[in-house]
Amino acid sequence: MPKHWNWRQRSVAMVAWASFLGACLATMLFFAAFDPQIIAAASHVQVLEDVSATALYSIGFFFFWAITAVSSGVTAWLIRTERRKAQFPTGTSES
Amino acid sequence: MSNDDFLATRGEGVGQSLYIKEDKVYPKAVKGVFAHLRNIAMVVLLGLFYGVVWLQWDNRQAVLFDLPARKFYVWGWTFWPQDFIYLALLLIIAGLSLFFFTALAGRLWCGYACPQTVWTEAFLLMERWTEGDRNKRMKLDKGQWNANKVLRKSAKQFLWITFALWTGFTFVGYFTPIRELAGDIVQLNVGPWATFWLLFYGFATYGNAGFLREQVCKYMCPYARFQSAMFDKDTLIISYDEARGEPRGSRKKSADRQDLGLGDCIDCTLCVQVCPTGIDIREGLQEECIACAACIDACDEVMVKMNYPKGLIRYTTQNALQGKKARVLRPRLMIYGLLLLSLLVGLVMSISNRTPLRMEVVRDRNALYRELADQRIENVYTVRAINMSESPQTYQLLVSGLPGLSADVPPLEIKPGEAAAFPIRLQAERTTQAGSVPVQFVLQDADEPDNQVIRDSKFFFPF
Repeated sequence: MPKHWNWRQRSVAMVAWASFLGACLATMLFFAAFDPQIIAAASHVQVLEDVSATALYSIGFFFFWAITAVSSGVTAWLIRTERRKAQFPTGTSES
Repeated sequence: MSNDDFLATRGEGVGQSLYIKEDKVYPKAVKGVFAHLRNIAMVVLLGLFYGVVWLQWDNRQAVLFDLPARKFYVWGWTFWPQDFIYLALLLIIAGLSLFFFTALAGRLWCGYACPQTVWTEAFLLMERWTEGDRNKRMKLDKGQWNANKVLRKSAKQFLWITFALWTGFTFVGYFTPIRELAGDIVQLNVGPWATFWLLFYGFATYGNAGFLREQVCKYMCPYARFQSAMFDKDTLIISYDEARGEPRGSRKKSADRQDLGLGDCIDCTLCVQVCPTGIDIREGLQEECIACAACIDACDEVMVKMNYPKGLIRYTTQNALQGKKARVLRPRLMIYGLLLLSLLVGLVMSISNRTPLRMEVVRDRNALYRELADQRIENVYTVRAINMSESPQTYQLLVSGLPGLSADVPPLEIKPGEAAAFPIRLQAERTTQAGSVPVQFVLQDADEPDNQVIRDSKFFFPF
């Protein structure tokens, strides 16, 4: 039997992958409905107005990935650091 | 897992380096029916991915997702953001197919079609060409660094990196015309984002197929976790026939297994050696199993050599293994199948029958109505139309719903693939009517009146 990844490796991998999939979906659905070039033009942020459409889509994707990664990461961290022992009276196994 | 075990596992990672090397799995090459099927799937799927991007249609790339222009070209079809419904339908169909095929034969997707599996197979193939099969690879990894090892390892890396970069190039080619992209690369004149995505996708391919491999399925894939919820006792799974195989044990080919009191399993462990996720199928159905059927091929070959019947490991169902009647066609499958079929037919029908013309009618926001000098009432609208066809078109706008309604609208000409907005003034005689009256806008192709779009709007009279 191969050894398993430890908990931290698993968390990093799960967070990275789940948030990636979420970001892909968000990018696809959001940009299908909204044109980033119109959003950029209306943003009055000079940097956004100057870059190409490809850059805007890319920035959008990484923006979504950052948000989903933070969300997944915090969720994973909350689950990992939950004080499980205190919640169960001694003698009961949780599995 | 007990509470303490759980905490121990959780504490394990603290203070350790982020990447601890997993015991490496060295899948052995395997021949047989399913290996053949897997190879066919690999050649077809990778062939499509790497090949389709080069096809031309009407002087443009046949499949191109032109993000800056917000148009998707798929052979003769052009999709606009307004065709969002098709994307939604496609996603629903993809989800439903996963349900259908999982209920039918478990993880068919994982074993034959998942990009993770397919690219891993391709990378494994290159690994075999350069480093040899399982035993040679294990020996090579354990051995000293010498000329042979350096040569073999660098040949593998060269193949992997080239293949990964080509994959990244192909991926970007679906968003930027690939022939131009190829020219830009030759002239070292690629835009920063194209370069970035090429490297990013190449790196992801290399990492996922070269290094992470089965770990992606084991730890990262959501489908691997929830697929068991779609199983039932009639789902085809890959299973070891314990009743027939046990007690396992080695024996001479000439020996009579009944005399020795042994089952059919000769414990050669070939099924374990060929497994890409490194599990022992004889321990029962496991979450790690991606249903690639490599163990079936390996075991069948041994069974033939031993003159035993094939199928000690085989596609079977839980019901069949328990001696009950196996049913493949069951209500659940038929419902999934019918839904899937009707959605697919609906999608194709609606795409092929769609009118290559869009129109939206927006009322002027500033004034509900205007009273003209001659006592007539005027309402102002903006008509936005898109010519989604591949040729320039002339359209005629008709408005109906009110007696004496006049709209002085010249024929509207729109270039192929372009959108245009036209201000439209509607005038009507003042009548006893007050408030809003429904009117209908019809935009039709001047040459083909059947090509038309109808939109409802309102005409306002003084209250």
